[in-house]
Amino acid sequence: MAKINTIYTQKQDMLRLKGKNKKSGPWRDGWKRLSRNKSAMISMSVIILFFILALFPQFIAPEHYDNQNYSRAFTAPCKEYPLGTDQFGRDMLSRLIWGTRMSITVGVISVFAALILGGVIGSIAGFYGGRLDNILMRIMDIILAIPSMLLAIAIAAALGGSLLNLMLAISISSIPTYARVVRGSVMTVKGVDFVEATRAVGASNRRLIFNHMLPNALAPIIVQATLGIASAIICACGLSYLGMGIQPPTPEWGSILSSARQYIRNYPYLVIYPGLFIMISVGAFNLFGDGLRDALDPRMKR
Amino acid sequence: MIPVLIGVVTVAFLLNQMMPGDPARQLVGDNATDEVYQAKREELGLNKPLIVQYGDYLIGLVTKGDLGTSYVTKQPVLKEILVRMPTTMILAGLSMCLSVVLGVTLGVLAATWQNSIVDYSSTLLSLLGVSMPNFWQGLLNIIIFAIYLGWFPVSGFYGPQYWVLPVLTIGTSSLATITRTTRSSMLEVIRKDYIRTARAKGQTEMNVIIRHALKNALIPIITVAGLQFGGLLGGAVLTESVFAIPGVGKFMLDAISQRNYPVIMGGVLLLAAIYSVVNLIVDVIYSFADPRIKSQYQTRRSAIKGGTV
Repeated sequence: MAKINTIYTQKQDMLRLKGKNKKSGPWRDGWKRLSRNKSAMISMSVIILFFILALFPQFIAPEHYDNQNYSRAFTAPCKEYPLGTDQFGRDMLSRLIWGTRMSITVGVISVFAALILGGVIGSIAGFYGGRLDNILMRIMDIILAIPSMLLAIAIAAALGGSLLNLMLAISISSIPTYARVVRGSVMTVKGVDFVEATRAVGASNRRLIFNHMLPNALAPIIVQATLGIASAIICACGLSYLGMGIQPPTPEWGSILSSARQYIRNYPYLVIYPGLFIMISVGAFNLFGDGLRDALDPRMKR
Repeated sequence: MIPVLIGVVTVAFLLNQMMPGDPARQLVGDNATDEVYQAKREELGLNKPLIVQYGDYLIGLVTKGDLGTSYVTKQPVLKEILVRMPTTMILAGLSMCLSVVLGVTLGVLAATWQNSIVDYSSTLLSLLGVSMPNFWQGLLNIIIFAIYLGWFPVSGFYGPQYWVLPVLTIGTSSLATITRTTRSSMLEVIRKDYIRTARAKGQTEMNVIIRHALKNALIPIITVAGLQFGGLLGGAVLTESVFAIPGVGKFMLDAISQRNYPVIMGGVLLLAAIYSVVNLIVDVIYSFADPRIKSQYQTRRSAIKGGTV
């Protein structure tokens, strides 16, 4: 009997040790769920690939993006130029790889800026509630009442076309989305006991919001931001396509598309490849965002 | 809705102020004498303080529908936009119909046969639809259906055959979102007890899905469809430029290249107003789709009448 007991406690100890070595927590569990999701992992590798392209185009791209050579203009895709060359004889693959830098930068930075501004507005509104909440969210409603693409067009037109203004236009038009999401998640955390406890200990409101509430309300915000990068890339490419974003010769997927548009009849590949780049990157961010949602918020089913 | 509209007008006014260039100089031209220029400034009220200008702008907008004067044609902006509005509205309306009809059908099919080939292909299709930029899809449609197959004309807007490709282009992106929403909303409803009851009492499957399940899954679908209309309007602007359709979007984009700012702002303002009206209509549709919401309104109203609130 005694022997059986010791074996039993030994086994328990081992189990406990195992548990100690393998830390667990909401983020670790989320990662576990995420790594089991095949489509999320594939899309994550695609996103990492795009980030590498954006960071080191000078090492990856076969040529400089503005390397013109009229003798080889309009070469159809072949061994030497896998995606062909454009009207100035510039290698399409190189231009698209360099263009990754612009599109990803615009997508990530504008979402980040909108997230910070919207986050501050949303957490203030959600935390304090009452009249302040009402005023802030009505202002957000007004911005939401203008379709985001139209608002971005209007802002970009007012400011003039440049990289900075493009990012500004996209982030301003997406601030309300983040404000709403952050407000919602702050409000759900607000009633939880540990917030009461922190307040009882005498923490300042700022500390309460930024150190205790926001980290616990982060999951839906991260998901929204990932999906937001996808729509920011589409929006940026759209604005550049209309000639209101990044100006040539700097390559950007949208502006490459727009300069290829007039050759659509005879050289359709010039139009097809830039769009494929946009579609793959946007699709990857969308899929990854869905995967994150499933992983971080187990209650939400697809 | 009125406060939101006033807010939108304010945003448009502020953006108007931020616009580079001097409207008076634009209207009189570069060769005008200083006197003419000053007279025009006075006439437009540009010498008044900003807050007075804002008041004038609001009053002019409400009483006369004054959105300013186009720099290029020197015509009232409102008139020029209203001429082009029907084209854009037909385009957006047809795309809306396409995406709602196809999206709901696809979503219902996907939810009915969950984890089947239909489900996976509809998921893939909606991922593609969400990820494809509108303008690129328009260009692809031109390459495939107009240039290679030759079924439809490349661009222009003269008859029904010209509408097919633009409507297809604009409709697809919201089609994807509506399909997804329908699918998830249907999946939620389809597991409810009353569906089992309906099956148990021997209803045909068709009846169960459409009368019992879809009817109860409608609210999220209507919400998303209403929100998508904004995306449709934005998409219409881009698509009109791809297909060279003479609608509001094309007009606004031409105005951007001509730096014709009143037209841009007027267009944004009017489209935003239409979007808010559509969302108001959506709120009304709710009460038709869901008797619970209708009864909520009614009890509140009768309560007010009875003097209890």
